[in-house]
Amino acid sequence: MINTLLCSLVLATTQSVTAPTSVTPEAAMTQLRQLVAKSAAHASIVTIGRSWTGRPIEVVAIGADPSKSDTFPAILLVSGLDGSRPGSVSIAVAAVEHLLSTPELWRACTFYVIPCANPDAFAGPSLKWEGRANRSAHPIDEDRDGRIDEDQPRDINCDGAITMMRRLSPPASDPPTHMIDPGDGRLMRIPDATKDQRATHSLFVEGTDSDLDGSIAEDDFGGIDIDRNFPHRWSEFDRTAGAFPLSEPESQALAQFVLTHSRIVGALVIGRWDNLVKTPDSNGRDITGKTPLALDGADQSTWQEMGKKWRELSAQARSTECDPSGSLALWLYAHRGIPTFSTQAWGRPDASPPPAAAPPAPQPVPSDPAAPTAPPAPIAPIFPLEKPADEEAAAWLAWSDRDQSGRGFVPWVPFDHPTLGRVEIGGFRSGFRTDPPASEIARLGIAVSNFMSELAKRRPRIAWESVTAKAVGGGVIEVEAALVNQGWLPTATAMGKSNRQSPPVIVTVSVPKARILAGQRVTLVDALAGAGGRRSFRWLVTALQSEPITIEARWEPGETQRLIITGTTVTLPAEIAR
Amino acid sequence: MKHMHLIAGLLSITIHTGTAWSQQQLPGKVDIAWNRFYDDTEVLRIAQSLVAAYPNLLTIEEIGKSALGRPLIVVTLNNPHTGAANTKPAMWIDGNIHGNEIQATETVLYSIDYLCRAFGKVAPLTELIDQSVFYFLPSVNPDGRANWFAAQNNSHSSRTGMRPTDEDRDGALDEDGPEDLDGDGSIGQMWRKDPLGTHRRNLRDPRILESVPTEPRPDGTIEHGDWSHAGSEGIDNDGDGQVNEDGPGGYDMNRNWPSDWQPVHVEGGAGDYPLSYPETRSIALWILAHPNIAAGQSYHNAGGMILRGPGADYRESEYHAGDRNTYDSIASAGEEMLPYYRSMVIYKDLYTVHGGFVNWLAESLGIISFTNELWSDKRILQNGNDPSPEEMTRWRDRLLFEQTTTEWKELPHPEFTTVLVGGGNKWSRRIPPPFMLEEEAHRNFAFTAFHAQQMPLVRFHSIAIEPCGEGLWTITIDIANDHRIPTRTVRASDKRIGMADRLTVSGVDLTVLSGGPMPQRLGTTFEPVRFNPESLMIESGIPGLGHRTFRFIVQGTPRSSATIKFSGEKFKTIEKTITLSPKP
Repeated sequence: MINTLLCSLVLATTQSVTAPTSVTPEAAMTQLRQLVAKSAAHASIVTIGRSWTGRPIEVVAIGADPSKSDTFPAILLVSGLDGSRPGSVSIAVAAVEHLLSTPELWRACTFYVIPCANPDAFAGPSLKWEGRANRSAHPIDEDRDGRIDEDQPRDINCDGAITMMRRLSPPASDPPTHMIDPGDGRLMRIPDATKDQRATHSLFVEGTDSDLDGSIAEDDFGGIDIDRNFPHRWSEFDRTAGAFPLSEPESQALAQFVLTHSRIVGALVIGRWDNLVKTPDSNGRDITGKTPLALDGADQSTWQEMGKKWRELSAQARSTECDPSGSLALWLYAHRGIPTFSTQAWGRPDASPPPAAAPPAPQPVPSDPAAPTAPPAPIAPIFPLEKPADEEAAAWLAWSDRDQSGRGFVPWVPFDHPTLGRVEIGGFRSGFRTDPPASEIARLGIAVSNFMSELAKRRPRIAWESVTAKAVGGGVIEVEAALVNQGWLPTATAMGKSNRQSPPVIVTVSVPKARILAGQRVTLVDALAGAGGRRSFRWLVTALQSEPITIEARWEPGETQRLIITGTTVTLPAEIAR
Repeated sequence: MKHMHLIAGLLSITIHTGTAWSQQQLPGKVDIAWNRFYDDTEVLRIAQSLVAAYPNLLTIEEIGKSALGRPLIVVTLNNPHTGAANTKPAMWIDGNIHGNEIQATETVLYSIDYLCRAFGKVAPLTELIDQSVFYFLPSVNPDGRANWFAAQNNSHSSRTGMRPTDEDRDGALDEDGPEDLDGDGSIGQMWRKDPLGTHRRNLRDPRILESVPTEPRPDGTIEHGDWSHAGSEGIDNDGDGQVNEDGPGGYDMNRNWPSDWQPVHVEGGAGDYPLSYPETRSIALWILAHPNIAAGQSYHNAGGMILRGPGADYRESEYHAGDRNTYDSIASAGEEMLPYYRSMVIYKDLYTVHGGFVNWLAESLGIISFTNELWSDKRILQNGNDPSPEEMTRWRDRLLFEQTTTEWKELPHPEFTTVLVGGGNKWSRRIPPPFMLEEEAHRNFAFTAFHAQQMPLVRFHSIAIEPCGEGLWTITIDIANDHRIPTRTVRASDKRIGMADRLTVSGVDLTVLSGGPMPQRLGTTFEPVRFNPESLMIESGIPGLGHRTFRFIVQGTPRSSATIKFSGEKFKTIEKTITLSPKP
């Protein structure tokens, strides 16, 4: 209790050091509501569900007339899924602001934006450990002891962050697993036996053994990772993935929104998985052999092209590897067939070049472990001759040191732990490697908006071409026509075609079946490829005198295209009043 | 209801005479005929009547609604005098997830009725009721059942739930179902007239359509029949050139469960996501809230099978040898009790199933569970063989008096010009004739009772107390499980499903210094846990028909008492208080 009280006092004084790098999700959502209120003619906001604790999950619809948003092809943006990425909410709000300034697009399309799909993940304890900051508030009993959330990570040394603890020469009951990386004394690594390296330390998440079961900080706040709770490649016995797919109110709300909005022709998810900076491997199949792990080979070129576009728009050059099992983006693509792109929105920036030959500096150790830590000076590696094992972590450290005043890493400091004895506490600050600086939010919002606009511009658009009708005698008319996709995206992804979830184009001839001598009265076209993909039709029809024959191509997300044949006269869609 | 009370009153006079019991005639308080089938409203009424008649044992609750708003009911059978329902091991029994598999429901209802009738009169069943709990869900799919009874169907149709579905992807829901063209109340088979037909009517018995040999005659000419199969009775309602391709519903709720669920391009009818139907979701949430369920049975039809998972070959290794032994020992008893039933593994002996219900119980929840496919055509001849078409016809003529067939009729058809419609009606296949229903229900109930009798029953086999120093004592506890099902299946402990069993030692003036399992029951050493020795978490539980031994070192005085408690999700907690004396 004393420790907690002390920490809260210290926190108040160190707020400026640990202040979040971007606006809070809550503030961003307030800003969003103000934006929508100002643009009520073109935007509306609707609650589509509630989180575990009852917070609203809201969708903004942007279009020429929000009351008719369901009648247009739609592009969906989902953000705020991952609690370790609070900036993603702000990015989505910035994207809404920018989208509202592009009326030429939303006259033909609807943009749905769900900026904060997992609102509880941004609530809860003010400090979280980065490895578990992604979770919803649905509590789970991680250690199966019948108690909930009773052993959470804590900022026990009151430095304003929950980081890691390393213990040198642990006892036999806690065998060492790591050693200090010779390449950079701030990083820990698994020893390399080929170099005769030995483990010296054990690692723990910062906290105590509150429930006295021998494990440290093992039953954290909340528990379900919403973006692992979707059906494709759901992790069955991973408690953080939920009791069953779509077990959570947040994932249910998202799924029901998608299932009841069949005009969504493209989606972008901002979250932990990237499939834009790096196009996913399209070779792997799941255990049934019938569903790709991430991407069907026949869809790969679409993802490559859109990835190129995203890199242009966002200038994002790097992304973090991540297992997308159970993610919303995988489900939207693999089970719903929707072309779904997923981005972390921001990747590790380049660090400035190192200063010329700075002398190695020892790692600073504060004399009083409880004292607030000032932003440390950039630290040079202790053993500069060897490259750190974790090059990615080392690169983040370089950016932190050289460009961010060292704010990304809390230096290791000694601490007397109540059960572990002497430890050191330190490590990356939560969110540093996942959330962009505040100065980047507006730019990334515009990039997201432009990417959605690009998807809208490239949406499938079907049209009739090369239509002819000629009399072949005896009152029989031969009609030929080609149904063409004038958009860049296919009407169905290869995945949507194989899983039969993308809506087909339904071509119907208005005359009774008995008078269609050749050709089908109803034809389902599973997919028209992008950029001019076509399907030719030929019918022989017994026409009654002056009876108009309507040939209709109905594709659920888009506008129905009709042809009217009267005798041998063809009336094209442009000439038919809507 | 008044009438029902009257009957109950009359019967109560006879039930204490004793003579009826020895003849296995167990009078009941509700008069239910077990030689007939019941539609969904009758099922509900029977369940309610049973609950009203046996308030000391039965309670009923609505756990959700079907897609069309029918109640999903669970009847709990528990003797409250031996403990609350959630303190005992429970058996889940359901039926009729496929709407056409109707006798599953009668079997569930029969089980409730028989257990209530037997309670207090039949010792083994009274003991079973006192030790355990039953959760019965008579019909998982009341919409499909209602449709099967009320609408024109065949033995195979109305398997689905009744949420309108667009099977032919034309944007319209359920717009091209079958039609009863000959007005016999069933959807029979339809044959189109075809001079190059594949079939002809048997000369001796024109009710039999037989295939024409495809091999040319000796003179090289090819023989043709008059009829070709055209599916089930109906027309092309939506003008798309297909007949009956988008009927009522159009999915399979027994492919909608989370364990190895796969989307519809892999598993037809699986739904948009696991538990996407109100029926499956309500049931799953209810089962998850009842971790005391230790055994499961889901009745289906047909084929005479006692099925266990896995449903797919790649999950074979998820049934560990220890669990397989438990399954096999129960199923082999079933093979004896159920003539012409075979113990089978779903993927290997039947077909691949992803997202099946018993697979979810077994693989996700670690519950020993079976699906029984009720009724086998082998019961017709009762000689172990399936009947030939001619034998089947004779059965229908001589035992069923033609009640399950409709005479073939030639009818005009908008697509096929002339069709032949008729044959077996919806009562003709998959379900027993009424006169055999009670036997089918009883044998399956008995098998399920045997299964329930295997749910874990633990006891302290021995508790030995020895002094081991000044004020120090060892307490060695041997726990036995007298039934076949372990307190934690291998699956449950392997995947850390639910809560581990827990053995605690507590007492005033008593401190537990150390505690842990003994690797060998008769050994001298034990494996002390590092933390909380007074409360051991026993992940792997107590094996079926087996023992495990634990040792504690406690500090106390010779007068200190120690309370030893062994608890877990799937058995009744046992507790014993001892004093620290070598001879308790």
